[in-house]
Amino acid sequence: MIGGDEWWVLLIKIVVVVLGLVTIAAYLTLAERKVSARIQLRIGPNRVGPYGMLQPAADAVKMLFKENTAPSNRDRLLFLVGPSLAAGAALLSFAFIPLGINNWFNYQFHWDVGHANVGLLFILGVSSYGVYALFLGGWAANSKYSLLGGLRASAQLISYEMAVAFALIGAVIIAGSLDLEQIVHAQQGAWFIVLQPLAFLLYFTGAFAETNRAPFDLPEAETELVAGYHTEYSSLRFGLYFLGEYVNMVVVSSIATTLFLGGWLPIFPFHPFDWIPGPLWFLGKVAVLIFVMMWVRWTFPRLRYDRLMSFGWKVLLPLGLVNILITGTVVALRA
Amino acid sequence: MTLLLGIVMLLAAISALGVVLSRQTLYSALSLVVTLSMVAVIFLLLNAQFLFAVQIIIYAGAVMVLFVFIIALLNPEAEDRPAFDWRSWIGIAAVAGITILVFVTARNGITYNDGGLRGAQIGRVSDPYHTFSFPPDAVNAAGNVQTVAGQLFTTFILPFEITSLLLLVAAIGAVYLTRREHSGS
Amino acid sequence: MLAQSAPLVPLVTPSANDLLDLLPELIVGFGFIALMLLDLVVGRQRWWLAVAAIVFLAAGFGASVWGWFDSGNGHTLYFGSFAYDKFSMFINCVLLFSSALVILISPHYLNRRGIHHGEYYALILAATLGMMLLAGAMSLMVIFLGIEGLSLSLYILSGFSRTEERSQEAALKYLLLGGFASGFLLYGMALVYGETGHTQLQQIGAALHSTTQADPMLLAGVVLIFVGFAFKASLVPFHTWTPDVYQGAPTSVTTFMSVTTKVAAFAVIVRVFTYTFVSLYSHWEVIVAVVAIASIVVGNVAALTQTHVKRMLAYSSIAQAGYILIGVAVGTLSNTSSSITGTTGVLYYLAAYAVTQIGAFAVITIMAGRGEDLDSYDGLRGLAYRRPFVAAAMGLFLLSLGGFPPTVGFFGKFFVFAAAVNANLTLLALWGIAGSAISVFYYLRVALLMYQRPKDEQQEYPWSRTTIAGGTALLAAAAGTLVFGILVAVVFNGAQAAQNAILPAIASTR
Repeated sequence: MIGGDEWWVLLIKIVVVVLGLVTIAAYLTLAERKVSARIQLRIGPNRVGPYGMLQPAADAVKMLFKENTAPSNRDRLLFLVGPSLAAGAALLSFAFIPLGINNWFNYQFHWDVGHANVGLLFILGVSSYGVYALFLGGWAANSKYSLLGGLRASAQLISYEMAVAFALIGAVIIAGSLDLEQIVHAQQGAWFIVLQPLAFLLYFTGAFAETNRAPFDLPEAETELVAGYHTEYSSLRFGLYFLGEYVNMVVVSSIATTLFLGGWLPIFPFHPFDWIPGPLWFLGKVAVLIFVMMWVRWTFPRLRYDRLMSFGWKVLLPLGLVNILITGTVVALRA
Repeated sequence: MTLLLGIVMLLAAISALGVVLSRQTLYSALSLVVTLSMVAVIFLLLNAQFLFAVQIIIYAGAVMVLFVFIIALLNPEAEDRPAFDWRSWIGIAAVAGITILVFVTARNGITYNDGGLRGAQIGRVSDPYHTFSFPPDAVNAAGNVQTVAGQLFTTFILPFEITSLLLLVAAIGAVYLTRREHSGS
Repeated sequence: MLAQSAPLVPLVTPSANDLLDLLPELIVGFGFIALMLLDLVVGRQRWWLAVAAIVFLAAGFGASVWGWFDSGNGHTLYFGSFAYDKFSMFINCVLLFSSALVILISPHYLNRRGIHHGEYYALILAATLGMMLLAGAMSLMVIFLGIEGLSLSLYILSGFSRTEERSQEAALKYLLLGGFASGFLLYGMALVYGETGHTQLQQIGAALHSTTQADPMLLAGVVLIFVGFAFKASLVPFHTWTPDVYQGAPTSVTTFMSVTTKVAAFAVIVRVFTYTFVSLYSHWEVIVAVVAIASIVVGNVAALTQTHVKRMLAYSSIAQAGYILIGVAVGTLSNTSSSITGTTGVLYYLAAYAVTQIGAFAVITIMAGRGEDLDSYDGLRGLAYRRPFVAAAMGLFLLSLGGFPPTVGFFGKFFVFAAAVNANLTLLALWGIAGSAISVFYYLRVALLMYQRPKDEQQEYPWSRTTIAGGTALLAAAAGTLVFGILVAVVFNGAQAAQNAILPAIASTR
């Protein structure tokens, strides 16, 4: 069906990926604070552990032991569904991303959890459940800040999903496949960021909106909406939203890496670069993209909401269409 | 696999009942999301991966989001929904009974000439209507998207093109019915 | 696994001739888009749009006439998805003629109602296109898309008067019930597809060819498809939306939908039931006959008690649909060598119904006051003294609807009932004749009202003046009602030729 692994291999992969992503998300919070501190000429967390390295663990413990408050007029079921779905959808979307392929003793090992020949569509499909998480979470809390945040989040996500998908199509046309491994293979000559610079920019811009990050973090704009859709959440439920948000950063960066930055391929296809294993290349590229996302967050001011929407519909989407048109024409002429 | 398929189908049926029986409109809509997702999973279990992805993206990701959006915004009270009395139960029972009867008695051994799903062979170019059967494994081997696109842009090109006109009509209607009257028109 | 592996099936591109044979539909489709763009250019001079729409419709009409002679015995386009035969060209001509007449009476009416927007013409063309697609549809998918195309356009057109509650109510009712009917239709199609494995009618017909017994699932599919069609043709018991929508919608839209929707719906009913499900005739005959009788009874009885012409015509249109359905119930049966068959009767009746019904509604449209329809019976009293020609035309249309010779209405009924008698379905014909007898009461009642002295000689009537365009439309409809009644053979031979060349061609019908 999906992938060809034995069930126990699959189980190990799932456990590793989930734990890995949770750990990465935890350390991304630290990274975020460090980066912001550096940009604002501060030092950042440095008390817990050397250079503050144990800060995420301390934060996790703190979050677990916080009082789990909830509004009394909430919708009980959806109040639970919201955060769980946020974390679940984000974690699940990562399942189809290939971190590399290795041949060990005639055994081909795929560094992914699931593999499908329409893998890219799987990711887009699964991540579309994230909209429900934000919106239902905001609605269930029965507070106007939450509702407004949830509304903004879902409207923004729906609008930018289109632009993002259109940007991806350019790369898909060149690769001639929706299979993520095939797409990476197709970049052995040149990374698609070279062939599709516009698409990469469009995707990466849209990715900020998809992850609700500054300058597109309107759903949780603290100056007007307290904390947006998760205003009423605390303790572990808040933690799940937080986790979902940071895992989403990893996911969009991974998609960008796979489609535009050559996935696990080394930057130059000769020694010593190809001594470094593929998954490390992959994670390194993801790290660079995530750093850029943080950098942008602490550098640019927030957009006004109507500008955000018109930017998505009137700039990103038409540019995406133009990109598809040009790419399609060139590919058709070369064929 | 068959067991899994059965469970998923059961979930689809239960959530479909939830659409009808929920007291809250929002829960009805969310049950529909679950139903559609379960149908998508059925596609997946039948090895139709492209259909699975498209079903999720279009129904769960686009159509139902807007439904949920609007329902939550209008926030209709539970009392607004018509209550079930014995008459509606009789109606439900009748529809369910007939449906079950139809499906139980279906496939009672009547075979039709060249009933495509059973009779057609792959690759009969001489077939004047250009129909083929598409076993999932063969489709996956040849590429899901490629096969669907190949059919869409040859055999089913006419319905495909008509659909685009249909969407245009719908878009015009939506704009016309909701736009504000500008002064002097 | 390579990305560029060989395709699973050899890809056969459709031939360019297929596109050429689609010319009538292409012209109207192009017109639909062109009118939307033209709307940006013409500004306030919206009557230009009406002119352009008529030009496109006329071009489509010309292409259909050309197609009539060109198609010969007919063939399918796009791998059996669409028919290029005399049957669809006959229906196309009726549809395009009706649409053109509606466009003629529209600008003045829309101006008086204050809803003269450019989208109107584009949507009329879109609806016409949907109906033409329905007339030629040879695949379940095209049928569904055609039905949705005409329905979507009509939902919007019914609610075209956005500030008027009645119009909005009509649109909403039509939309909700129409969506429901589409669900039935689609479910039925899914069942039929599941049983036969085909979406193309020709193949479904071939798959069902030799068998007269059927799975309950297949029968359920057939019945559900009929429900979907019956809703569009407003047959009892799927007619409940008709009076409200006909009355609430702007009258020019009512004119349009009361005629063309029925024509298209019956075209597809004939193609799907009489010719595709021909081997299942014994199963669906009873259902169709019962629905026909119910429509005749309910439509006529309800029309008796109405006090508004629009509502009366709505109920009468239900009864008319019942008469037409008799022709469908006859199927391909015929016990004599007589050339009058059910399908010929249906085709003739549709053409007759189109000119007559358009004429009757056109009178109401033309008379419409500023911001309201003057269609109450009281409002029509004495019309003949103020507008003798309009009243005479209305009288003619009412006589034709009632089935008086020498109008087309008489021959329409005659052919349909004769076909029923030919097929030993005399009882069905008797029901139709009884219904027609009842209908004479309410048609003549309106006609007599127009010729009564007005209550108050001095009273000012808010009737609109008749414009040149409106007068032309009225004249054309009246001429059609009379001329085709006198020269019966012209249309009848056409209908017969159309029936002889209809696809899917089933061996047993020859």
